[in-house]
Amino acid sequence: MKDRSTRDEIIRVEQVCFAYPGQQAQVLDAVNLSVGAGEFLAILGHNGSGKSTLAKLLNALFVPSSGKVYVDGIDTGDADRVWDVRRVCGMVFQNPDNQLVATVVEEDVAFGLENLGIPAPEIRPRVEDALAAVGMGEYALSAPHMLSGGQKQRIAIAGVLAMRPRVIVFDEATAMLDPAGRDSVMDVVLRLCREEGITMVWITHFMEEAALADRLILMDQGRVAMEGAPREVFARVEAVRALGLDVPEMAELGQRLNKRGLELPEGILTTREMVVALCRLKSGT
Amino acid sequence: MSIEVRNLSHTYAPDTPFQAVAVHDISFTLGDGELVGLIGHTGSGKTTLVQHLNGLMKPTAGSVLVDGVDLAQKGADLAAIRKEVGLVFQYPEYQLFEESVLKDIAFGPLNMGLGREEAEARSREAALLVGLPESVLEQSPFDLSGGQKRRVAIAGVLAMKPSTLILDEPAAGLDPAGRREMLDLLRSLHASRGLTLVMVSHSMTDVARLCRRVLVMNQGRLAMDGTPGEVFSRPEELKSMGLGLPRAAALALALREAGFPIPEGLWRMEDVEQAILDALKGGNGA
Repeated sequence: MKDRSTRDEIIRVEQVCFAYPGQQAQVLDAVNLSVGAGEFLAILGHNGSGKSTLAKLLNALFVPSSGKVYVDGIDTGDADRVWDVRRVCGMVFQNPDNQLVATVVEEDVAFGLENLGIPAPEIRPRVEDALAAVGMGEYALSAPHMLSGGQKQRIAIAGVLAMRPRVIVFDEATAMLDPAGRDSVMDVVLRLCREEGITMVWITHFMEEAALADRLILMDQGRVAMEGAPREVFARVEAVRALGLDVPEMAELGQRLNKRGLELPEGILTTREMVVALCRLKSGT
Repeated sequence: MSIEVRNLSHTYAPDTPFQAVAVHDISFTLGDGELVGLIGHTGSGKTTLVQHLNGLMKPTAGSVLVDGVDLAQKGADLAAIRKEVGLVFQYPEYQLFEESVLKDIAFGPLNMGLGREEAEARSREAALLVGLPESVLEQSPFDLSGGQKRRVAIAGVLAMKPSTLILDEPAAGLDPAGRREMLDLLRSLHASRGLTLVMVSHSMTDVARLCRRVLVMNQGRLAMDGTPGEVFSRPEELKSMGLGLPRAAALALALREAGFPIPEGLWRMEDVEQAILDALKGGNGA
């Protein structure tokens, strides 16, 4: 993992405030954020904390009430460049059934490209590449409604990938999936981030997913309440709980075991790490 | 009340090229006051199955008996059965529509033919039961948080005073605090009201926390039916069905495979925690 300070900046959010039209309440309140190219950033927050609003500001679905959002250097408030922003920064939403438009998988993936006016001969290889990248190549001619939730989400990701974005924002993209579907989507996203260098902004309620990110930000009442590497953030169990969130179960277990006299290292997040640490204690090394 | 499912099968679009068997030859009985988790991957038939339990769908073969009454028989009083067996759909907050929370909750009772006063009294009681503050009752349901909206939807079913409550993915999409509160709510409804409760879920961890009996669906069939301890001691089979273990059971299994001494059959985190302490204190004198 590259240190963020050595990455180029791909997203910059400067003093952004946002209120929905006609409403007084500030959904976002002076948010600042920098995302490095190729980073996997997870955004957490209880329902209503402003995280989905922030996501929609990143590809110009919303523009700030005040402040600026730059994506790959483009000001999202520049009405002439909205489509440039969306080409750089794609988005995948929660409900797979609301995102697929065509009756054949490959047509669905090609939809965005056709909209952009990409010449037909270029569309086919791009669609094939995108489907291969999400492990759905053999389903090119299938009907989307016959696929599982996880497969549908991977088709939605392929549709975004075909546009060759530098950033993909996922707004609770696994919330409606079963465990196998969730794993399949997570695997694809991690691989695209690590191998293709695509920046991932991952909004989730699942702490086990967030534990896989390079960096977390925790939103509360429209502000960034906590920020840091998963190990740092999840070590602060009480502070995370106070935001209506949770820590991965292994982090909580580690803390409880230590309160009861064990000496486990700090920052255990996964089952594998817990097993390794406990076996070390057992063998006394 | 008891619900008996006998050799239930349901085929969608029979005798067409799109024919699909959603549930196949399922039999089980739900006793009074049970607390049951129904688990299975997407498309395993869970939702189709539960929609048979109050007669929303009719079996292609087999039958469903509620207190001995076959729902498919002529003259079965389905309206009465739907009062007794309440069904809360996935993402029920999308079905809210009234201008106030109270009116939304009262829709079901009014539809049952109760008078306005009685319907409102029941609605207030149901709102209290699901932990909605008095102050939100006159608000628009659309101004509430996701977790609160879902409570409104559940209250709308509870106001009909069912003896059985079936919830399809009640915690899906909620934040961690909302998820915990939802499980606490279901636990307390079961304890205080003696409701028979069926929770459909993708989350083994949630089912492990709440339920005393687990039904596992796979490819339209009932693959397992047992206590959490029995079901979670079959990790290989669960894995082959695209399902995992509750995290505590997964940890216990991984520890055992790594040679760490831990007894079999543990699936509650507090039990695994104790077993870890016992193993370390016994083993190296710590």
